[in-house]
Amino acid sequence: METNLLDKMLGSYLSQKTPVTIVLQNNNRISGRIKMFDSYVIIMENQKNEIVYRHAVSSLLPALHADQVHQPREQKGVPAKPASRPAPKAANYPKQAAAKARPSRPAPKAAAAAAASDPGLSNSMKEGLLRWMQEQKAGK
Amino acid sequence: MEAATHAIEPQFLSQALAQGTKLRIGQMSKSEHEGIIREIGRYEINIEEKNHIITLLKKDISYISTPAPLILSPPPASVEKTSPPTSGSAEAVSAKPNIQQEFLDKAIRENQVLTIFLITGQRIRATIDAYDNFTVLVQEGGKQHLFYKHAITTINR
Repeated sequence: METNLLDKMLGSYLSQKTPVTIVLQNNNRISGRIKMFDSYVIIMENQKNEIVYRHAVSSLLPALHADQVHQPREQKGVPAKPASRPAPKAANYPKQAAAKARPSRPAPKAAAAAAASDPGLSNSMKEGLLRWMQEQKAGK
Repeated sequence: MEAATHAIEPQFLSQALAQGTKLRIGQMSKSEHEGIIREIGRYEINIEEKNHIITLLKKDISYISTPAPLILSPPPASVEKTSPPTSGSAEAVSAKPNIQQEFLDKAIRENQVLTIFLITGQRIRATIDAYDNFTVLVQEGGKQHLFYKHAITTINR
């Protein structure tokens, strides 16, 4: 068992200068190259030269990959999410939709997949999102 | 006192690594990953999803699901420990009952169907196969799920 896999991965991304995306626990994403890191923080090399606390990191992935992986995930994740942070989502969607064609994902799959997801919570949001997606598709 | 409890989580992860099982991993933010385990660390795991390696921190994982059970026979250790602690001199502190352990042991012994609520608001009805200090292994509809306790709010009978 690797004792510190994150250090290892950060080290290899640092030495290969791979653009990465760091996903934080609040689901924010930070992209850029890794400038340096220690056991508590990571300094990113992008326009803002952000310093990221490692205790807030949820996952780490190569940036090229970010679009492909997160599109289906976000679709699935969004309907169930609490309505407290709509702003970043609104900003994200048009960009992603423009970037590439969305794979059409039937709603029942999402429902079945999250075997445990709360049904009553999110129906209206889900419907709104579906409608929005259809409009986007029709618009193209 | 916890020594007898099997470490379920490492066993589960290394099984998944050995068998190359496709796992579904839920995160605290309700997003999901689907991929194959590549490396196991102490605080993080690497999974391969669509030919890319993603590092996921365990503290942000709420559950890991497999399509088929990975650990078949629950280790006997957690079942045997149901008798109340004897007044051994070595275990003076264990006079205090371990409520969680008793609850989970009873559920395993009687094969109870429990409802587990997560802090993400998700819920699942399942039977408990085993548990360790940080995780609970449950079975539901032929699937096996490893829930991290840090993602659980309540367990109801």
